[in-house]
Amino acid sequence: MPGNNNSKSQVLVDVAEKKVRYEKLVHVYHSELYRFAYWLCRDPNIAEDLVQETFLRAWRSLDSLLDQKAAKPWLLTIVRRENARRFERKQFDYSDVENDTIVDEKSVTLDDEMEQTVIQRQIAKLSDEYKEPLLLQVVMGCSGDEIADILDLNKNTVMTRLFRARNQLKEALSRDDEQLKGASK
Amino acid sequence: MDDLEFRRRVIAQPNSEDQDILDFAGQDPERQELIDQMQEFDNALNQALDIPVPEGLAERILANTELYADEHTSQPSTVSNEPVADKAAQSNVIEAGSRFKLDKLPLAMAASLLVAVGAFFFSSEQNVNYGAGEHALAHVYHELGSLEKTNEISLERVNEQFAKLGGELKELPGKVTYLMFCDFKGQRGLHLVFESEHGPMTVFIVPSEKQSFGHGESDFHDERFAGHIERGNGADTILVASLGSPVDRYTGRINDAIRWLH
Repeated sequence: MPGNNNSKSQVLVDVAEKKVRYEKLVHVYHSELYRFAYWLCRDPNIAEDLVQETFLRAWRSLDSLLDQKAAKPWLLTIVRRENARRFERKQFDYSDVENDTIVDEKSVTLDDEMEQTVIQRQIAKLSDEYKEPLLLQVVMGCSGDEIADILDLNKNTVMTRLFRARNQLKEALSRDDEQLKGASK
Repeated sequence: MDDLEFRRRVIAQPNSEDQDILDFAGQDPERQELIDQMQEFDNALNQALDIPVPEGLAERILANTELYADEHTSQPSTVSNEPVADKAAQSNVIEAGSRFKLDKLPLAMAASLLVAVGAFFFSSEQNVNYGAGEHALAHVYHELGSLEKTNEISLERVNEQFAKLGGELKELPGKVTYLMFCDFKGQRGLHLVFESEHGPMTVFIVPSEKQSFGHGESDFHDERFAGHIERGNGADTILVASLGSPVDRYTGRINDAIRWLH
């Protein structure tokens, strides 16, 4: 039946297009999404699982994700939700968890490395309400409106939290700095 | 706007391009200094958060999805009640699934290429003698996200940062969308991206003191990008663009536009 052949080839075309769009989505967002997930959970294995699960969901919902711009907030919302769900489950089933396996092999000077470790530690200490908007802005490059949308807050609240997050960090880092100077005397 | 509001907004969003913020900052050098300080602080945050992504992650995501798609497309459709349509739908779905499989090879190859590039970057960073081209490509792959930015960064802002390396740009061939100080084998250099007719192009301007780009061919490329290194007296200029772009022409234009202040 000619009608059938047409619809058959149409389905093939649709699947091929879907796959191309999906691959693009994965390549464009997997790195940033991994970094965001990592800083949420601070475990490389869990971060990878969160990203895997998120993209699997994206594949299932790809038809409703026509707009690339809409894809980013959507992906971020899912990563956050999946991360929150970890705490609802009693135990997360991992066979070969190796915590703290992140080794930064980028060539940086010792000073830079120390500074980065200090910053990382202070960011980790921020409470979630400050940390999440900051990560969305710095790691994901989200605008204030996008952050408000993802976190379901109004924009003023987001701006206040970003302001406080940076202030807290700056204060904590200058304290660290003084301590370091004090220690080296 | 008053200074309090200005401060709150700049600290909340150091890279804000809001005109009222920029105008207000223009009235007082101290205000501009706050913007500069906060932007520098954000660069430091960004670099601290920029942890390496596991090798082959994209490949694993795609492979997992394929497994999932295979499992879920071999079931007959239950939506239609009409037997003929049902059968047709079923055969379509199966073919669609096997098509997915047929594409597996090139997909896997492309993915493993990315892995290879990534592995190269992470394993060879300490090796001083590998080619400058590979180093440049690896840096571009490592910060692929930099090619997707769209907000314009003014030439003034670029020059404020570039001045820290003692240079100035008279013009750029397109709208600048990314600006960052990066570490190139222990040498701090400027990393910027501008838009061109041929897509986003990456420029590294790196002082040649530590010979970060001192070894290897001047022209380089892989399957996706092509680049050119112009080795200067005080600094090297590296341009990386999509394969097939007139890289030399753009490198020439940028070099003509650079002026060293000392």
